[in-house]
Amino acid sequence: MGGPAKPSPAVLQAAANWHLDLQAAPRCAVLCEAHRRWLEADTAHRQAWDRLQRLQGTLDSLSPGMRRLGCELFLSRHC
Amino acid sequence: MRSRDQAVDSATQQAVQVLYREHHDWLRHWLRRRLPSREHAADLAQDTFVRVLASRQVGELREPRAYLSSVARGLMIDGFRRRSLEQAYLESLAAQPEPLEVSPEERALIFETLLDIERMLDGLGPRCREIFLLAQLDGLSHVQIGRRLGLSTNTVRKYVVRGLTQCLLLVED
Repeated sequence: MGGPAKPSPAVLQAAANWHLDLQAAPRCAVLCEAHRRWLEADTAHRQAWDRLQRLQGTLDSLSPGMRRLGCELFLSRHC
Repeated sequence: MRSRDQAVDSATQQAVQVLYREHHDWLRHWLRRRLPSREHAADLAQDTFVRVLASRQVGELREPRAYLSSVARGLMIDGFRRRSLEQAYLESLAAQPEPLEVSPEERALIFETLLDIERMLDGLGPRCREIFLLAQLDGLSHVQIGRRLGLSTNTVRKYVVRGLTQCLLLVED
């Protein structure tokens, strides 16, 4: 028997939107409660959110100086 | 009695052993034609089978050589990317006006993180990549990014969401 289904792109997009909304208004109780209900509505939502936390953890592991360096590096390589 | 996972592992191991026996030499020669040295080809051939074993996606392969060469090609590309990024990273560090005080261990960890990020950036178009980097790495607000690039904040947000979504597709569970 396989594990839980992977979150769909639509669910991942929803997680991304929640991330930006909560970043913009971290103390909004109504928003936090809506997010909590979204997380509990489906295990795929929690999975998507966990992925986002891991992604953010990867980015946060870099110091501000390294983030700036990384940004310049990638912009010069790719853009 | 062995658990179901152990039974799956055993089946996968046996399948990979058969794959190795029947196709390892072919793969090594295939890689030798594409890589600078015999040793490099031998290493990458081994890495390919390790990757196949870890993926547990052996099963019934209709075209095992096509599958193996595809995995090997991905590893080759990753190797090129690693060397290219490492060079650019060291050059960037050397070009900093103020030296960044990091130990060799921290430098290695930072490099692996940058490599992970670069892999994720592959899936983004140029505009999306630029906005994603400015927002998520450089920490600019959507207003600042919009002013810099002549875009509305709504448009900036759409690109950031698209970038995050693409990256999340590549984050493992």
